[in-house]
Amino acid sequence: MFSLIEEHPCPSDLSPDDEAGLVERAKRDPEAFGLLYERYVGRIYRYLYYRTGNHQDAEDLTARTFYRALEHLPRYQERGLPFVAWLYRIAHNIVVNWQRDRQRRPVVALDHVVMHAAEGDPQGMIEEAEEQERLLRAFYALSADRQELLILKFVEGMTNAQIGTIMGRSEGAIKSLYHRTLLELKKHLEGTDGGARSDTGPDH
Amino acid sequence: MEEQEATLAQITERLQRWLVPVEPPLAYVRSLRAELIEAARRRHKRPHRLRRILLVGAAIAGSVASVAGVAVFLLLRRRARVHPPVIVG
Repeated sequence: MFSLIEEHPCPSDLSPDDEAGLVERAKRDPEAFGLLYERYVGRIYRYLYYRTGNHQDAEDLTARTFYRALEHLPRYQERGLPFVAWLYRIAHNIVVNWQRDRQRRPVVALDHVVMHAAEGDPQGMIEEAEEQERLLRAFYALSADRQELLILKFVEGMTNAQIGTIMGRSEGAIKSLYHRTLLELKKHLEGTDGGARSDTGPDH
Repeated sequence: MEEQEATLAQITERLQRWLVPVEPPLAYVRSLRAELIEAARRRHKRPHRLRRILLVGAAIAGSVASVAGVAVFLLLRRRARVHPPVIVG
């Protein structure tokens, strides 16, 4: 059986028609659902990792997202949006409920801080970790849709038009939301480190 | 205005440095895939089993109805022989 797990494929290598065919097949064929899963698990995991702030919860919520997708797939109807937009919507609802149930927001993605602060001189490592922590605190203080926008833009490298498709907004609305998001981040950062630093720290 | 743009550009640069792709562990991806496919198979089997039960049930009900119909027909014919209808006139 052809498997995508080892190959880390680009999700855009299927045409919309091919994808629609695969989704239809997945309603009847478990292996086809497996292919859809392989295609999108990385994106959903990354989204949930940045929304929750740690790998353990990202794994838990990724599993919940795909189980819910499996449950609702027979009723899924293609409405001109990519299938992944539907998956992002499920993941978004799951993480919002999860945060509401536990009444918490991630303070900072500690796994991530440690991962990136592992190189360089000790003083540089401390400064770098602190800088990231400030940025991530500001990031987690944003509303859910603003966090989603930044994840899609920076982690997934999507254009404003692609983000608009996923979030159900126009390209112009995304551009405007992005600008407002940067201004809000600036405000949060000014409250913690007196504005964006002029030195951006050591490269890594 | 220019100062604000420069600050926003710095924030963008920081976001680019820190919001980087992370990958789920391969063992996790494989294990979840196997669980999901198994769950999908169970979901697909369920309607088949239900359909089969309904089909067998309908066949049994049909057979019972046929046998009962034949029995009633034979019973009525026997009664008609024992007590033949009286012809008046």
